[in-house]
Amino acid sequence: MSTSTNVTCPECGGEFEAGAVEVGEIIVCPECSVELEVLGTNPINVGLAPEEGEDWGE
Amino acid sequence: MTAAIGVLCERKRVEEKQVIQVLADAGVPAVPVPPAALPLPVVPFAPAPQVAAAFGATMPVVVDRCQDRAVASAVLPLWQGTGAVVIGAGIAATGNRLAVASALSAAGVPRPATLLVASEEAGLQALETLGYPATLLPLTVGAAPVPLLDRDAAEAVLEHRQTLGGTCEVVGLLQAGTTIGAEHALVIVVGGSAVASRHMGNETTFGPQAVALAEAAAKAIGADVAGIELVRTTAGLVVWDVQPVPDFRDTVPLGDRTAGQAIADLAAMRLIERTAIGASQPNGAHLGSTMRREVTDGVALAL
Ligand SMILES: [Zn+2]
Repeated sequence: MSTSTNVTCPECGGEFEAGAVEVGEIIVCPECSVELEVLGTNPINVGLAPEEGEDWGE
Repeated sequence: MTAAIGVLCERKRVEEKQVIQVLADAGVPAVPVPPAALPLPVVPFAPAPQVAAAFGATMPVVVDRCQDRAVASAVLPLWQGTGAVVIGAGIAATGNRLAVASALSAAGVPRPATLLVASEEAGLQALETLGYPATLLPLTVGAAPVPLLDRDAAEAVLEHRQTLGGTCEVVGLLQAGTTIGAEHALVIVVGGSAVASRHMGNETTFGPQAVALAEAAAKAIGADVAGIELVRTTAGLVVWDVQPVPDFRDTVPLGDRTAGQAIADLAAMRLIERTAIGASQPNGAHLGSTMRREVTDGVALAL
């Protein structure tokens, strides 16, 4: 069984092959260098990785 | 040495790509410039050779697309000091939300009832006046607003911020109302004209009044480009907040140009004015696609 791991970056719209990744893994978009968090793998789904820093109740 | 439009951005997101692509299609060189990549001299202002060495072009025009507003407020004045024309959000580019709110109020632009608070106690006192729900907008432009739906929530948020964040985290604007469940839209204003918009909450029925209000707000803060957030309150349509570097990928054009095209047009026009070639286009004029082609062809030839 092969699942496509083609990802569209939500930040720059660039497409790239993520390869074998796991949920929670942080990957870097090769086009814009933003950090992306793998939210799901079947199908692959990514979101912007949470910024480090304090949460002041937002 | 070529002259190019610098697009200040940490990375090329969809918005910055659009602007650069429109310029490239028109033959106008545009270069992404990471705003924090270069040390900039404080005085005298002479980074042009430094910038040219780093990016292969001088930059008489820069477009502010910095996501990090702390970096932007530090570097934009230095870019201006180099003599570059900075296309940005005026007071909202380098000032804080208090400066923006004050400028809007001074210009008679309707805003929600607002109080500046600088402590947890003052915040709770202000909320007695403003009522619930209300929203805390941190002073830093672009920092996420915090809805305060009732007193329990307000006490928890303000105490948390003051205890863990310190004083700077409780200094902010408290605005009456919330955008939750409200008619709420973002209007992108470029070069004095509203060019695109999108709903941010409930479906909006904003019409010409909203366009006029957004344009008045952008004018009041001296913005070349800004995202003006409008909300319909019981008292009528108000300017809720200003986004200095709005995302516009999901906006719908109000005329024949996307927001990205409008920004690119404005940047190209400023480059022409700045390089004093084909500078017969009037300031603030809107370049239709035909005129834009002529104007930018002029730049391409001149470069
Ligand atoms: Zn990307």
